[in-house]
Amino acid sequence: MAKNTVFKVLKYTFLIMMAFLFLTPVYVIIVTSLKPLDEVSLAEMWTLPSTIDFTSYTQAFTELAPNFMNSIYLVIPATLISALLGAMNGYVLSKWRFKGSEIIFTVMLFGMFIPYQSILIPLIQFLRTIGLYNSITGLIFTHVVYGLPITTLMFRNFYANIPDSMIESAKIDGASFLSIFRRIIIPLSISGFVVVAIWQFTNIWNEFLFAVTITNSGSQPVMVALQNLSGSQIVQWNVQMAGALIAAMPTLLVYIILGKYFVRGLLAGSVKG
Amino acid sequence: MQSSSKLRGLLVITLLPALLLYSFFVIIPIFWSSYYGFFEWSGLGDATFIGFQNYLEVVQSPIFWRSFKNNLIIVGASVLGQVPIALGLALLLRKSNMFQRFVRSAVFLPMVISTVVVGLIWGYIFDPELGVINAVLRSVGLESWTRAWLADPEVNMYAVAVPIIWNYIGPYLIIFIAAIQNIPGEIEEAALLDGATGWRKLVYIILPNMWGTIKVVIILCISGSLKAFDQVFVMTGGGPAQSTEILATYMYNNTFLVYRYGFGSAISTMIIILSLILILISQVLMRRKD
Repeated sequence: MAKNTVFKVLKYTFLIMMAFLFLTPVYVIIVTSLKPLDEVSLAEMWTLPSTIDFTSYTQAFTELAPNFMNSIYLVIPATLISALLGAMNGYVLSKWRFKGSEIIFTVMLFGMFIPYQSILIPLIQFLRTIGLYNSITGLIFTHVVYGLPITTLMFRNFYANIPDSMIESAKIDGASFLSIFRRIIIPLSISGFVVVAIWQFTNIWNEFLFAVTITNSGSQPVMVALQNLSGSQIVQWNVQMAGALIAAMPTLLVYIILGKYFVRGLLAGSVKG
Repeated sequence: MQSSSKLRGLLVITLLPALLLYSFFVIIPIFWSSYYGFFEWSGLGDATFIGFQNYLEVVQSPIFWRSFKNNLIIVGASVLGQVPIALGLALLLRKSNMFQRFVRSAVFLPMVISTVVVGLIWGYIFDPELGVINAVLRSVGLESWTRAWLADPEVNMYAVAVPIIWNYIGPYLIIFIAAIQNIPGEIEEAALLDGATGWRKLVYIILPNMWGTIKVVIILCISGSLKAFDQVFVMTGGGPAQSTEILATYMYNNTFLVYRYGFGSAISTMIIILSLILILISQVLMRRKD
């Protein structure tokens, strides 16, 4: 039994160390963001601020607020549209298989492995041609398109759990392709929608490469503005950390409230594929 | 019942928007990009056809190959760092009590935060004057180990890889935990009857049953590492003196900072080719182990 105790001690030491490793940076951001600049120093790194100082928050907020709103205008339509398209694709690819549907699905999955930087230039050229370059609409469009593989995959896996017999009997009752979708599939896939929406919301909110290349100045989402905060000469770590927390707040809230669904989405998108 | 031709029409209408968008923005641009690679072009105005010059320049550029090497460092760090840590944690976190759920959530937390935020945090942690790492080293008397982590070309690429590892352990952990839970109970029971416990159970029962998942995770790891951009861009931008340049930042800097769209397109094409080769190699290697 002694061997077991040693193992247990080792195991818990390791786990506590890991938790520490992942939570320390978060502790450092929170503490730093609440300090005035002159307290951001080596000696005082770990200490709590002497007085809680929200000036870095007001400063970060004034600079980020317009971009924060841009992100809101971006993330809501992009999430809804990509979820809806994903649901339709998933419905067809799981319940109305036809010759070649597996090939279509495989080709779509391939998209998840493409490094996006390698198709960026033609994409920008195209957006320029249709006049959507440097606009939130252009970015919404981009996120809808590049969200298709993952939303399709997630819905397809989700619909695989709806028994085919249900669809068959609806067909015999004379229900059409669309009415099955509306009356059976959509009501049964509310939780699927929640999972996909959370997944897309988080990814689109946090995305950076498209945001920084497709938009500039007025239409930039919050993550690009956050990165620009650090462009000034003197690095004001307290303001940056406050900005980081403000920018991360929506996804953190979603994770805290609906974390279970987030994890479920991840599993739907990766394991069964 | 609907007639089959009408049904076929409906299927096409449902899939068509997505398919069109998808092929137009994912598949065709790959070829488009390689075509742009044949031009000297500033992004606006006229492009001049220059044959294979851009491609030759990419292949002969030492910076390009350094970027590729740096990408491989990230791939290596991810596969050798993320996979074992995530697997180890998954094996230790199979119960669902408060403490284990807490550790799981902590490990998963970076996934929810933007990569830009992650880059900023670690930029602060690595800061030579005010950063946590140097502070800890000084306080334990290892003053000589302190350095400018993101500036010193001897270590900065490894320093940059750390936040990337840190960032993505969470999802792999969750995938592994799910895989362990999916091992059929009968197999474990049978193993228990045969007296397999502890390490032997791990080596003969659990790991072989997880091999499929481990392979998937390794592929995800490789393709994810080839996409890396945000954290490096935020922490170093590829510098100093292009020492932390990776393929994505090299392409970005050439295209959007010095406006060499043709050259950038040639780099893009090379990125696709190298990515496909790497993924192919990894799949072949792993197939052989079966």
